[in-house]
Amino acid sequence: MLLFQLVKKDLLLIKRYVVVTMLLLVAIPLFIMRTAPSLPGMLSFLYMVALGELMLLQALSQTEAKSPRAVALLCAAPYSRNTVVQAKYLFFFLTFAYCYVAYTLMTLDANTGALLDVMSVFIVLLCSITIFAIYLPVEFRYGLVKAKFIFMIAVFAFSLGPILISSLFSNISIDFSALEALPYGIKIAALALASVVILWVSMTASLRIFNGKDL
Amino acid sequence: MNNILEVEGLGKDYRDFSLSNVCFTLPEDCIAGFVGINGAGKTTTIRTILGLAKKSSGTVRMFGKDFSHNETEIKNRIGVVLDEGYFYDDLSMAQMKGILAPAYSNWNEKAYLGCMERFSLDPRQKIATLSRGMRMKFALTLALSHDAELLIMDEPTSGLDPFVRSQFLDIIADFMQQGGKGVLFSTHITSDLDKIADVLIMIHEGRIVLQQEKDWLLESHRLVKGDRKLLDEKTEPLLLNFEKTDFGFSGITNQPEAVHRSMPGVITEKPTIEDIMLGYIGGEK
Repeated sequence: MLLFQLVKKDLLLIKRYVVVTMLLLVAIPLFIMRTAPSLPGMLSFLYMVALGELMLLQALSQTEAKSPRAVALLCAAPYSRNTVVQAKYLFFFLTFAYCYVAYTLMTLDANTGALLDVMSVFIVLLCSITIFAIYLPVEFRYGLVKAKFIFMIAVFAFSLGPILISSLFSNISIDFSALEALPYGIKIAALALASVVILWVSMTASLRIFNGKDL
Repeated sequence: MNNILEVEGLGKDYRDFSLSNVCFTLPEDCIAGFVGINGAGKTTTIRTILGLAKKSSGTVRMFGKDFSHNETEIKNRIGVVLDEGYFYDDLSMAQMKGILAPAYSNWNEKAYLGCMERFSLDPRQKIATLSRGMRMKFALTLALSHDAELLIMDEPTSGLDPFVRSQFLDIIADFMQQGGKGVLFSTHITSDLDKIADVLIMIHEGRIVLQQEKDWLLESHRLVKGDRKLLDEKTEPLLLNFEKTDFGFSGITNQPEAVHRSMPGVITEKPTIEDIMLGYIGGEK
């Protein structure tokens, strides 16, 4: 399948980073389990996923930016523009899958008994999809350098968000008890649905941007 | 004879340049030289034909089929050589081939290996270390390794030394001998076209200035040289362009008989493609 050929190409382009990142990602849960055993497993998994996605996708974008016209050659061959975009999303999922498998194996090996529950996996998936789903269309539209700059501003604004909200609306309290009362299965389905919707919107935007772009 | 490529009313708008109503056809078994000066619109036309730049108007048909509706099938049947190659510099040639080959349904590994050997290319060599000539040879190798029926090449010979250019032209000639093929070959090095082109398509400022058979063009045009006194309101319109010197004038005409009648004593010579190109797009007139 052509989609997998393009993912293979991505891995080939960053093969040195892939090995280093894979080893580093395996070390993260081990390190956290030893230094902060009380930290919830979901947080160390979230950290692992965020770091893995960030390192690999940034390495890929930077390597591709060195040969910006190569994508034109791919699209002059029977690779479609849609496949090029879809391959980036598949690459994200494969990184996530690796993180999950590596985390689970490390947890089993360390014999901590703190395996991730399904809810934690879906929460981490939703968080990482949300960031990735915003980032990728921005990168397709504005390129790597501008996308990084836009994201730095966005991260800064988001980090200020909770402080501003709490100082402006100190009297407001949000009650999450209704959400907590929902059955476990419904919560999982809601997280999965939210992930799919965010991903669909993001991919539609990326496809539209990339299909209208001059290569 | 069937048309292998048909371009109709192609348009592409940029802020400071546009392609306007570009129309031409490439018949089967023909090598078309796509000529024009730098910035005339050759690369933009080729990129728009291939869908790499989005057209603002017009249609592109290859093998009788609309390109935008049959993209994958058509891309399997064409070989593309782009200026500078457009490769991933960090990869070796074998790795780059490994990326492109699976995309073609009719990849011919034997043809690939044959071409690599003919061009003395080492598949393990990193693309970043290749000279421009080697890059273009590798690009041509990839374009010829999936039994393409149409080759579209953008300035493949510019910057190459005469020996490599000659090798390149020989390969194209071999490709055409198989029959049922076509080549669209953009260049501003007109001497290459003297050797291999059947048809010339000339573009200037984003518009097609002419499309004619090369032999007909060379037969129907003449380089005219004579005394400046012969130039007047009646004779100047007979020349496409002319240049005045201290000793006389020289120009290009597509009406040699009328020139001989109206300007007795002028010397006429068979022009080169470059003379004709400059006649249509440059000069003093």
